[in-house]
Amino acid sequence: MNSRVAMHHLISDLIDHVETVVVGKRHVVKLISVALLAGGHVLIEDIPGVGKTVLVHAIAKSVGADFKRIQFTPDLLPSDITGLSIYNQKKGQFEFRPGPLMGNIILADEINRTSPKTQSALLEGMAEGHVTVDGVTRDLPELFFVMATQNPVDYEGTYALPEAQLDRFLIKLSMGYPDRKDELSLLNRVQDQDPLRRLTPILSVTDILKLRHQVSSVYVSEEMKNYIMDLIEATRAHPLITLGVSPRGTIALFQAVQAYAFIEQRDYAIPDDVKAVAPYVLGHRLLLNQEALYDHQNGKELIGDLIETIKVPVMKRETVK
Amino acid sequence: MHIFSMQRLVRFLIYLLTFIILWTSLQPVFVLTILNSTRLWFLFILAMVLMFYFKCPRWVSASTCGIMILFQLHFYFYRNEQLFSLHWMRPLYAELIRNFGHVWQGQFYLLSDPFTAFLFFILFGFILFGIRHWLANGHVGLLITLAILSLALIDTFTSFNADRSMIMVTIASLLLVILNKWTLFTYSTSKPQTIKQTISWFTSGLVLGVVLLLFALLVPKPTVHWNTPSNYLSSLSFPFVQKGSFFSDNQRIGYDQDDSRLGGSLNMDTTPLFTANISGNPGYWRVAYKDYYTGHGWDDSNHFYLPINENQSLSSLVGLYGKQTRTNRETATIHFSKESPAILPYTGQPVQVRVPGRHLNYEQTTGQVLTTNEQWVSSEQLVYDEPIYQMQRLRQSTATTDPEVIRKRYLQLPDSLPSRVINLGQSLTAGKSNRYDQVKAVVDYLRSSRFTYSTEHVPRPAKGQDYVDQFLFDSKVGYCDNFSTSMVILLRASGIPARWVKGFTTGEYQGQVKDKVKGKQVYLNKYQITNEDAHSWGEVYFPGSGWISFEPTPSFNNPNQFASSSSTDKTKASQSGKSVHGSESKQGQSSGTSASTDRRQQQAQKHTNESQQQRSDQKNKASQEHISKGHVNGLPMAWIVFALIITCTFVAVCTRKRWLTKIKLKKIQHINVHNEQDFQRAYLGLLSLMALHGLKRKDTETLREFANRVDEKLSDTKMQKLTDAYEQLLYEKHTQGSLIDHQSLHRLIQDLGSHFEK
Repeated sequence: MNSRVAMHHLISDLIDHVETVVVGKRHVVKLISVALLAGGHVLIEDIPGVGKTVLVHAIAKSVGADFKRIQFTPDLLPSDITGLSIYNQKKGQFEFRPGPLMGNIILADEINRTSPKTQSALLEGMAEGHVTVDGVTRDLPELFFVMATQNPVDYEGTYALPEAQLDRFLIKLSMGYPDRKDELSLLNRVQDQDPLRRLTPILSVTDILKLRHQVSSVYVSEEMKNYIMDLIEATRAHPLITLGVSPRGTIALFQAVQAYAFIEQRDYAIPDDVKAVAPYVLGHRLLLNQEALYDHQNGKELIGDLIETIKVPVMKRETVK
Repeated sequence: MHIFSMQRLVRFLIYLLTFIILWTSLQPVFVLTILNSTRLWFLFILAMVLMFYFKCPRWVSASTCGIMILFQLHFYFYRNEQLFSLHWMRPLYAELIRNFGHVWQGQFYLLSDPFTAFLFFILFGFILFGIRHWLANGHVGLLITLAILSLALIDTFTSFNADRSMIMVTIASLLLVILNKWTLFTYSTSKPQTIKQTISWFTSGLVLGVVLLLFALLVPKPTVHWNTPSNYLSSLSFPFVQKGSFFSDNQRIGYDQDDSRLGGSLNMDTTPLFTANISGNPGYWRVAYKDYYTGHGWDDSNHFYLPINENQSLSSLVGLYGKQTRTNRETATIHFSKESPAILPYTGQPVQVRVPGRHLNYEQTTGQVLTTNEQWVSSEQLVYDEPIYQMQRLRQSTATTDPEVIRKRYLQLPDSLPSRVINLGQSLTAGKSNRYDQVKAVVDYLRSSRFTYSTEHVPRPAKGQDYVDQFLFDSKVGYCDNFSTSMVILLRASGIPARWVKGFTTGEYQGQVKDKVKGKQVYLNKYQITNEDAHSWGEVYFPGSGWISFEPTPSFNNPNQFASSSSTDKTKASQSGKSVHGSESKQGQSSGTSASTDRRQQQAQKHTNESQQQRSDQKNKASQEHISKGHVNGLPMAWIVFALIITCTFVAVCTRKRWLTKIKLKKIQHINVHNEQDFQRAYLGLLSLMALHGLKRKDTETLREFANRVDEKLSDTKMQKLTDAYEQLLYEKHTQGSLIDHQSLHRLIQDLGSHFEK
């Protein structure tokens, strides 16, 4: 029990730590931590300049792990990120030079500016945990956490990620502008010194792997599982949604709920956890129909509305007659 | 006004409008069917809509609906039995079983009134619950469609004029739609509306509604091409439509008298007299009318015969109906059996009567049609006008507009008539504004349970005793002749011209036959009339509408009549008559025998106050006796009980916050939070207590969100603490024994509960 309490603290420390750099985005940091703890990946979509990259940097720096950054450009090739075999003239044989994908924490910047070919190389790594170069399958490290950023799809020079690939991200979120108050304090900090430089790691890779193990044992009661299922089924029956959430999405939501409960210092999940993560976990997994698009609805808001129509369990199952 | 209270007001208005729509679309039922007690219907619908409004559990409203239906069945058909007894439940049950058998065998024309009424109530009950569902889900469109459609159909296929109801329903519907849309709108957006928005919403809605209405009222309407669509119904020839008395379409469709029990002096035999093939709806068969009452019976000593020309129209001679009565031209063929007396009966107003090879006479004093030698004939052919009375016209009639000829002849009363009969007649009609209601009062009086219908053990009047007086005040047992004569005399006593008619009831339906009328193949309805069907009834003169038949005999329904029926069980008919017995004999002393009819009438007008006084005395006495005997016909008792129940329910609903709080607090305080179940019960009890005080947790709200809301409202943190513990119990893996100390939980619950004590 004691070690567990200590573990709970580790994660809240991480969040506090990142918050010293990225001001007023606690919820965003929490959601990224959810993905980190649940073993998923994050897609951050927003206009340039709101601090996507800084945030990812801060998280990567707080974890003492191998951090790589890939700036995606239209002319980037798959081998540029996976690595390639180069002929060593001295040894007279081919030698593998690992690409930037072979790290623990990857920042995939502006992922939608590159060609689909390169995108799918990244996504294969995310889904399978290994990459194939020159016919040889090479495993990625055990802690492999991708934080991708992208500009809103309707900006020029972008290749939209197809639905099947969006599915690979556990969480998709956007930053939004900071509050006036937060932005003011941001200005003050910039005057002093770049806070990112001062950031030191407080978590190790093994810590994170341990945390992940703990998260998977967070208890989700039968009532809660049914609550989750009610929500999933509601997405499949909704008139504005052409394709509802797939079973992969159900599992993703389940894991995210566990992670969120853990971050909230609990070893059991409650309906509030579902309400907190569902829009970010399920929002990008829906295919909306034309009517919804005309209405300028997006998946995240739709899920947020939908969850407010699901009955919350307030009684033990066995006592319900 | 706060938006929340606005929503409440709108909800109330929606239910009010629903009530109005229901009530308006039920208007035809009061007029067209025998279920015509507006008060009962009012209570029924009101109670049901109130229950829906207060969201009573389904089983409560369903059982109330059932009880109300039983109560109404009792009121309409078993009034003579005590309400809280099995004496009428068993016959009702047997009746239903028997009728289900008829339905199974497809013999729809055998279905009885109580069964039809029962089915109608059940259907109406289902509709009510449908409406409950629609209202709960905001689908008012279905309710409106149903109301308008039913009114339109009734207006088209029956004599009922639904214009006014239609306009009422349309106005109410428009309002309902506006209110409903607003509710749906505020729910769907979930953003609070500002007062300005709300006002502009309603103003634009109302303006649109008014414009629509004005347009609808002002737009020119084409004249009706389909003049008598009700004929269409008869041309369909559904046997049960034609024979059924329930949807009797009172002015025209007949009443099945297959269990006619008329007899006594008229012989209880079933000798067939004649069969009639008619194209129209069944009506009573008239043979003759009488106008001179002797005190012992009806006299017709003088006869004036007029020969009838073959091609001459009889309508002007018989002159039954005035200009304001619409008619349908119909034909009938009658075949007489060998046993039949030498009569030529007719129905409606005869236009042409033909007997092959015979010449006919019309007798002017009795309206009888005869062959010149007054001998038996084998068949008769009849063209006649079937009347469609205009209810509103009838209601406009007042006494002053009677022609002198009519007054002179049909207000005759014998000098020997006891004054208590006259007083009774006057007191019955006093206070009624129009002739129709006056006649209805007398008819209802005679059809009430004061009098028993019986063909057996009917005492003869003593020597010198008036026939009507003996029946009204002494024997109170009799058959059609007693009732019809009494009705005519009571009406004449209050200055309404009336006469006595004898003939036959509609007879027994025999199915359809093919016949040729003017060379065309048509289907006619065949009726068998036997000796048993001999009958007598009363006719009342309405200026403009002519002579209109009324049926004063209980258990008979005149097809040409505005429905008023109660199928009294003759063998068990109650002792109800006795209760009034003592009180009325006193009236005999109030005035002696007076000289002439005219004088008596003048007197009557002068002494209206007096007679009203007497009437109220009589009423008081009667009701006192009712209460002291505690039963009689069970009605006043039932009304008191019913009113009590309604009042109690109302009070209970109004004060529910107070007493429910007490009950719930007590319940919570008595729970010692020792185990999981107790804690859960206590916590949920606390939730329902809060819900009672406006802090209702939405189904989709998590406990934590709700606890935040509660704490904010109470400026406290206790609910959060308690909810944390409850969440642990609810969502954590192993809570057995790990429950935090129950004393602090108990205290938390007590503290939170005490917030609501005041």
